[in-house]
Amino acid sequence: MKKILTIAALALSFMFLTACDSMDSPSPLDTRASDTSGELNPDGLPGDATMGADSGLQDRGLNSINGFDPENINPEDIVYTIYFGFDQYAVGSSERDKVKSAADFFAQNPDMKIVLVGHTDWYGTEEYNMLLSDKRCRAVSDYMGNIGTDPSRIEIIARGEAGATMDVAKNSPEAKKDRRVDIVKVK
Amino acid sequence: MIRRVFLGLFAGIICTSALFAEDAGTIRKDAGRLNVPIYRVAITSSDADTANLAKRAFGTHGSFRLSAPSQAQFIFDFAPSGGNSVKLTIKGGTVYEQVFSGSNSVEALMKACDAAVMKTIRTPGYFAGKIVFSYSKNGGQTSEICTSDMVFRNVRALTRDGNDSLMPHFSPDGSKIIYTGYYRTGFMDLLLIDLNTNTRKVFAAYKGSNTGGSFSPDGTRVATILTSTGNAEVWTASANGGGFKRITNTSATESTPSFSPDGRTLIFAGDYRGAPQIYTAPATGGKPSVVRTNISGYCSEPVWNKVNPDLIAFTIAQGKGFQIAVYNFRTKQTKVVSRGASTSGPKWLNDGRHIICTKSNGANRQLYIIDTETDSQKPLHTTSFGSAKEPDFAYTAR
Repeated sequence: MKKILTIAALALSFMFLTACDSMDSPSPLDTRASDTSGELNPDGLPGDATMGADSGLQDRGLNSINGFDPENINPEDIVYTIYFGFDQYAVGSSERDKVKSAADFFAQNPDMKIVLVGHTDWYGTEEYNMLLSDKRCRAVSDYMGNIGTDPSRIEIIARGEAGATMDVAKNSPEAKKDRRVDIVKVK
Repeated sequence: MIRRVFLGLFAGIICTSALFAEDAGTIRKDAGRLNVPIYRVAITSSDADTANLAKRAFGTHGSFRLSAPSQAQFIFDFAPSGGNSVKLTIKGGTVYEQVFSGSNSVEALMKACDAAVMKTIRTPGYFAGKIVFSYSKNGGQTSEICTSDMVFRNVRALTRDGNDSLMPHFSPDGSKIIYTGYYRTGFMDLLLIDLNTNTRKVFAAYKGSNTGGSFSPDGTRVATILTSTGNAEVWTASANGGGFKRITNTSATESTPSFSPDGRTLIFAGDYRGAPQIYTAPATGGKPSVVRTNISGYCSEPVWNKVNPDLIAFTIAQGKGFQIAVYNFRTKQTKVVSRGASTSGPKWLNDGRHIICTKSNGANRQLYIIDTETDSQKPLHTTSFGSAKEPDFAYTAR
């Protein structure tokens, strides 16, 4: 009887594992197409041209800023970090001195480019958060412009909730750190 | 002999009505919900993998409950027939048989499954559709664009850029994908992948942020969000690129625009009153009008139902997270159709009833199918697969 129960338990375990495994697939990033030409333009975008700029839109072009990588910023290149309230994009009074100091820094370093990298906390839908971080960057950009920084030196990169600490309370220290714009120097 | 023929005809009439009449199944009558049939079905096949895949497919559909053959109202048998073909046999009434072919065995099987749905509940099945989504390995910091069938057997990574590729949208014929990415420049651009030519090009790379990218129903136009003029605004463009036309001109932030089924109206989220709510505007431009869903202070990601234009699905803030709601323009009623873990990014499937969306659990994202009629919500893949989010769906199987 014990033997039968053991065999039944093993059979059930096997069935369970098989059922679980049946929903798994290998990571698509680990799979390799047999025909490597199936990958999309591994050497880059064809043509290197945007598809038309009209209606007053400002074409940015397809060149990065001196190889600047917003996903791997050297912390030493962050001149100041400006923090924001929940779902807010106005530069708060407590943050304005930092923006002024950043403007002074770039006035003394006229050869440097300025990149504003905007972030949000995790709370919100992806595209809304991207655009909220864009708005935060623009608020900082406008403030710097108003106190004398040449706006043509400033580039904006909205990162939204990328890299945010997930599922933390809105007023947690982690969420407060995520609601920010990093003012970055690029030589 | 005559008696046998008579009995045969009688049995045939009974069986035919059982197979093809919707009222033969269990009718669920929840207050405030549409009636839909729910059938007990058994899936059989001489091939275990074929049976397993078909069970996974039907397991996501709200109108089918898997059961043993002895308890089933219908038995769906799927017999691999060689050469990427599958023979479907439906038992439970008049026996129905048909062979389905596809570009691969899984596609043939999914087409056979869809035929079984059509034969029993008379609405299209979605199993032979394809999805595109943003994917990252568990613990990964960046995401890539991937396509898959509905049972995750043919998953293909379209990008391997090592930076964030997000919010992909299919063209109506499934041949193109437009998405938001940071490819090469580090800036947020809209990129267009042509699956027929296996090429990718920049769709919009204007100053500021370039996002959105939903195609019109006829595939000729694309609704986008551009911040080049200093604020996030809705713009439309030719699907071939260029011809950008500004639709909104406000101080608010608009996001996630998409077209109505007739292509004449755009629906999007706008934070005109602080937090985002749902608005519509003529697709040729004009003043936005609020859609009073009266369900949440935060409403975003609206998508119109192409089968029933009375319905939109959208994401709402509820509790500590997000859920999916459906608003009916005719009855002006809103109902929440998801529950549990935070859920967002709804896209209607081709039956106008089920929704594909993303559920969040910490940093992990998982694609789910939600039935807006029965409250059924089922994952499309395990969490060990990795983190998948922001799906879009296209049905192009013939």
